[in-house]
Amino acid sequence: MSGGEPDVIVVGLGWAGGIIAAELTKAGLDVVGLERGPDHDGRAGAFAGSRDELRIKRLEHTQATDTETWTLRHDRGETALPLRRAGAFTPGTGVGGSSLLYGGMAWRFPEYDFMPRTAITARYGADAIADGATIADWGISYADLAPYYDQFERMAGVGGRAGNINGRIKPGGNPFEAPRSGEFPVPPMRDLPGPSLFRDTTEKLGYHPFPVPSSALSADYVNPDGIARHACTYCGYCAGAPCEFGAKADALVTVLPVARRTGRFEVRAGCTVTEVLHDGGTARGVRYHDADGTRHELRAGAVVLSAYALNNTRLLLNSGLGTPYDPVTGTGSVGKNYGYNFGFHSHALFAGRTFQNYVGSPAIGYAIAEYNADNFDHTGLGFLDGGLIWTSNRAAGPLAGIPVPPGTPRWGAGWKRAIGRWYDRFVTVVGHGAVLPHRDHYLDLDPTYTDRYGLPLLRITFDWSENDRRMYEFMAGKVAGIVAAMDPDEVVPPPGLPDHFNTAAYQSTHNTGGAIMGADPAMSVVSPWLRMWDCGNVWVAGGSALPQGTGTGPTGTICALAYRAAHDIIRSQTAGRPGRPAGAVTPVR
Amino acid sequence: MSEVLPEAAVATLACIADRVFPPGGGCAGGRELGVVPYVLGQLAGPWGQGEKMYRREPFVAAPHPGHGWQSGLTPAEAFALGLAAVDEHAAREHGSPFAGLRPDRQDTVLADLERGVVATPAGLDPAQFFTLLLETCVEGVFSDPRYGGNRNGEAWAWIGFPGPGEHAGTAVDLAPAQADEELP
Repeated sequence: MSGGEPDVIVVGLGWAGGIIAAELTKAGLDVVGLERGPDHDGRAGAFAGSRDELRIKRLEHTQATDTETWTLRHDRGETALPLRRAGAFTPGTGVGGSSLLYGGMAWRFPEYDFMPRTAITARYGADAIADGATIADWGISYADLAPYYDQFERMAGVGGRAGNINGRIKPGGNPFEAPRSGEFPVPPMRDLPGPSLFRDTTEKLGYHPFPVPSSALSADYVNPDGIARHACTYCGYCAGAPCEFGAKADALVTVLPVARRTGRFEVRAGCTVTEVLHDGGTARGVRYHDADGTRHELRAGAVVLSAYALNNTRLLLNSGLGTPYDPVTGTGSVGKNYGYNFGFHSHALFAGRTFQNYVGSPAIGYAIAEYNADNFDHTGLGFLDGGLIWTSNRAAGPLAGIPVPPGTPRWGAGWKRAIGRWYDRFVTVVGHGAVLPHRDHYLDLDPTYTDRYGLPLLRITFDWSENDRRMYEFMAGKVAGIVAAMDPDEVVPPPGLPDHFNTAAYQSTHNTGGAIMGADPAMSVVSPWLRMWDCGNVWVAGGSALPQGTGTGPTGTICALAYRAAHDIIRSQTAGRPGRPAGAVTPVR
Repeated sequence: MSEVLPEAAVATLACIADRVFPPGGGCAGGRELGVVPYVLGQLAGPWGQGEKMYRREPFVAAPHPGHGWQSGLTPAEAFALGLAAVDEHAAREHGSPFAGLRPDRQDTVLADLERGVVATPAGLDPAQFFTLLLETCVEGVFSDPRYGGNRNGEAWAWIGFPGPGEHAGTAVDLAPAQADEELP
C-alpha cells in the first residue's frame, strides 16, 4: 500500500483491531493500523526468554502507565487518584495488545448474557432489578452472534468438548452452554492432576464439569486462512506473557500476518492516537504522536477504535464524540455502564501429593457453570447473575505465590518451612463473578491528572457493590463445599472482598463498558454492529461495547463482535463503489 | 560500595535478606542465595528507576488502602530512605544500627516496620515500604538465576520447581489425552 490516504484507520492492534484489519484487507480495503506500543513483526525470536516470572511481574508487555494511566475514585465524593503502576488490571500494549497476555480461555457467552434485563424481569418480576442497576439488553441475541463465534473458534483453533449441539445436550460438555452448530475445531487439552481432581470431585457432588475452552492448541493446527501453529508445550507461562511457541492464539500469530500479506495493511507502531477528527457527524481521520513526539494527522474514510475498553472511552471523550454520560441526570451514554469482574482463589492442600501446577496454563482445566449467569434460581438470594468456577494449572513458579495454611507468617523461618512443605502440594479452585453495571459506576475525564501530552486521563468511579459482596459470599460458599469434598489436609479459604476495591492488587483485566452497544440510540453509544450512532463512519470494538461485566471471560465474545462489526464496515465502506481491483490504491476524496 | 544504595543500607539489606529467608531447612539463606546483588541490580534497572510508573503531580496520600502506591518515590529512592529509617529506628530502640543487632532484635525491628510504627520520611508509608522490601527479597530468592539471586537455581531445586521448561510429554507424567468417541 503506498502512502496514500487509507480507506480505514484502525486504532489499537490487539484481538479486535487485528481481526478487523484482516477482514477488511481481505475484502480489498486499504487499512493503516496505529499502535502506540512496539511492533513484534516476525514471530521467530520475538519472545525468546519470555518464560520468566519476573518479566511477567515487571509487566513487560503491559500498557506503559508512565505515559498514560487511569485515575480511580470509589464514589463521587472521593478525589480520584492515579494508578501509578498497573495493578488490578494490566492491559497489553504493542502489536498484539492484550491478546499476548490473556490466559488463553476462549469462551462463548450463554444466551442470558445478551438479554439480561428481559430474562431477569421475565423470571423474577419487574422489580427484581434494583433501582440504580443499569443492566441492559445488547440489541442482539446469541443466535445473531453464533456464526461469528464459529469464525473466531476456527481462526484461533479453540479446543474443547461441546455440551450442546443444536439443542442436544452432550455428556462431558457444558450443559448450560448456548447451542453450538458442531464440535470445537480442536479436541480438549490433556488432563492434568489438579483439574482432574476438581472434575472427579464436582462430578461426585452432582455438578457437570467440562474442559475449559482453550485457544492454546491441544494439537498442531492449520486455520482457514492457512496459518499453521504448533501444539502447546504446557510450559506454564501463558498468563501475562506472550507465547514463545505461537501455540496460544494471539492476534500477532493468527490474523495480523493475514492482513500484512494482502499488501493493503500498513502498521505504524509507536504511534499514540490522541483524537478522532470529525465534523458534522462524520469522522475525517485521527491526530497522533509518533515515537519521538511529532504530531501527525491522517485522513481516512472511516475510523475503528479498538484500543481497549478504557482507552476507547477516553478517546471518545477527548474527541468530543457522542454525549458524555451524566450520573446525576442519567442522560448521555459515553462512559456509562462500566462493568468488571471479581476473581478469588481457594486452595486445597495435600501433605502427601504434588500436582505439577507449573505444567499447563490457566486455560487447561475443568470448569462448572451451575452458578454462572442465571443458570440457578436467584429467588431470595439478594443478588443477580453469577460466574464460572474452575480449576486449571494457573501459575508457573514460586514467584506467583505459594498457598500456605492460614496463620502462617509472611516471612522468616516459619514462612520458609511452610512454603517448603506445601509448594506444589495444592489444588486451586477459582471463582469468577460478574460485576454488574450501576448508575454510579462510570467513566469520565479526570479534572486534574494528565498524560504526557497534557490531555486528561480517564477517571473511573467504581467500588464493590452489595450485589458483588453477596454473590462473592454465595460463590465462596459453594467453592468451600467443593474444596472440602476433595478431603484436603488444609484449606486456604478465599480472602473476601476488601472494604474498598484495591487498584494495586491484581483482580481481572475484564474492564467493560463505556461505549456500550444497544438497540436504542438514547441508551447506547454504538449499534449492534458497533457503529457509533452519532458518527456513522466510526466503529468502537472491544470490551467497551459490553453493557455489563459477565460471569464468563469476554475474549471470545469481543472477537466474535469484531468479526460481526467487520461485516458492517466492509458493507458500508465498499457500498456504491465499482468493484475494487485487488491491490489497487485509489485515493478517495 | 554500590552507587544505588549507600554502604550502610547494603549491610542492612543483607541482614534483612536472612531474616525474610533464613538459612536452614536444607536451603541457604537469602544473603547467600544472592538477594543483595539481585536487589541492587533491580534498583539500578528500569523498574527501580521508575519506568512504567506514573509520576506526575499532584502526589496525594491515599485516604485508605484502596489506592496503591501514591508516593512520588521510585523503588530505588524508597529503598534508600526506607533502609535508613530502619537503621535510625534500630539505633533509637535497640542502641545499634540494624546490622549490629542479634537476629531476634532484627525481627522485632522488621515487625515494627510491618506494623507501620517505624518513622519514615513524609510520602513513604512504612507498611507499604515493608511490602515492597519483602516482595523484592522474595524475588531475589525465587527469580531466574540470571538476575543475580537464586544462586545456581538452588532455591528452585529446594522447593521442587523444575524451572522454565516445556513439559508436554517430558518426564512430567501427563495423563494421555482423553480418548472421546464423539470427537470428529
